[in-house]
Amino acid sequence: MPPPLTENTFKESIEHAVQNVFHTMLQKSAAPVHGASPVPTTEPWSRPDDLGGTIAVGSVGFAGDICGLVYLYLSETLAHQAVQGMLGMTPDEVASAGREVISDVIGELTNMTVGVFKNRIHDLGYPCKLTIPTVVWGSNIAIQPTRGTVRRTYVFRVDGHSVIADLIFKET
Amino acid sequence: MPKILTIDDSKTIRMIIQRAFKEYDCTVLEAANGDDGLKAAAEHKPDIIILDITMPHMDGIQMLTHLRERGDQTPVVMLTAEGGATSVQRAQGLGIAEYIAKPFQNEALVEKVSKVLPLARKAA
Repeated sequence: MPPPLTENTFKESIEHAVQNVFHTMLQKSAAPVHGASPVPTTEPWSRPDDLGGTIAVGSVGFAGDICGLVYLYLSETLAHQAVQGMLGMTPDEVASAGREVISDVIGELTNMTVGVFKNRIHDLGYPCKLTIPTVVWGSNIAIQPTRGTVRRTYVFRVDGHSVIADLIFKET
Repeated sequence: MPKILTIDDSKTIRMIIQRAFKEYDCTVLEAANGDDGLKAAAEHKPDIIILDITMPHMDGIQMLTHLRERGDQTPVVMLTAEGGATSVQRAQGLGIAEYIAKPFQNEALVEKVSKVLPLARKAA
């Protein structure tokens, strides 16, 4: 039997994943927000003010000995900056590239983040595989997990913008 | 001119790879899934394949299995977010040349590819 996953394991794994991906792909630091350590809950979390407008939400799941989904929330402004960083585009090039290119970048950023997180959990004795990324856009988006799930929400600050990593696990 | 075939469902990754090798004397070909990758490998005979694992229709492990079954021994560099120990071992069992876990820096990718396929910089 693998060791049970603790709150610290989730916290350290997601912090490592977000920080690693943002540093390696965007050359940006992602600082965990002090005091935002989650209490497992099924309730929606309160949205930071800077995520009040249009946002991108990337999601990637994992399935195996442990099953869940991670949602990554970014403001539209930060999503544009992510495209500039990953593809070496100017702001004008990002604007003319359109939503499809921006969504693809956010999908890949989410895929990498969940991959790093998932691989840590996998190597602790919970083998699982990643799913294909999806990205949705909108304002006032609220994701309500179904029954039998546990939610953990982590907040980061990246260049003055909030980034939310929202983990939803099926209870085992 | 050396030919690199990148097989990844993410257009972002294919664009990053095009950018990483643009200063080198090589051609970068693209495919968005394992099916198209197998066809592109047969048609273009690349010198190296950069292959993702998690893709729709046919994933990277299935694609690599088909490739080897038909006798194609083109060197393969796995470039994937699926980096758990089990996946790495499965890919190594199919004879990959190198393995890179996402996230990655372009320099690391070029270095790994260059170990298998020496590349020259384009003349200024």
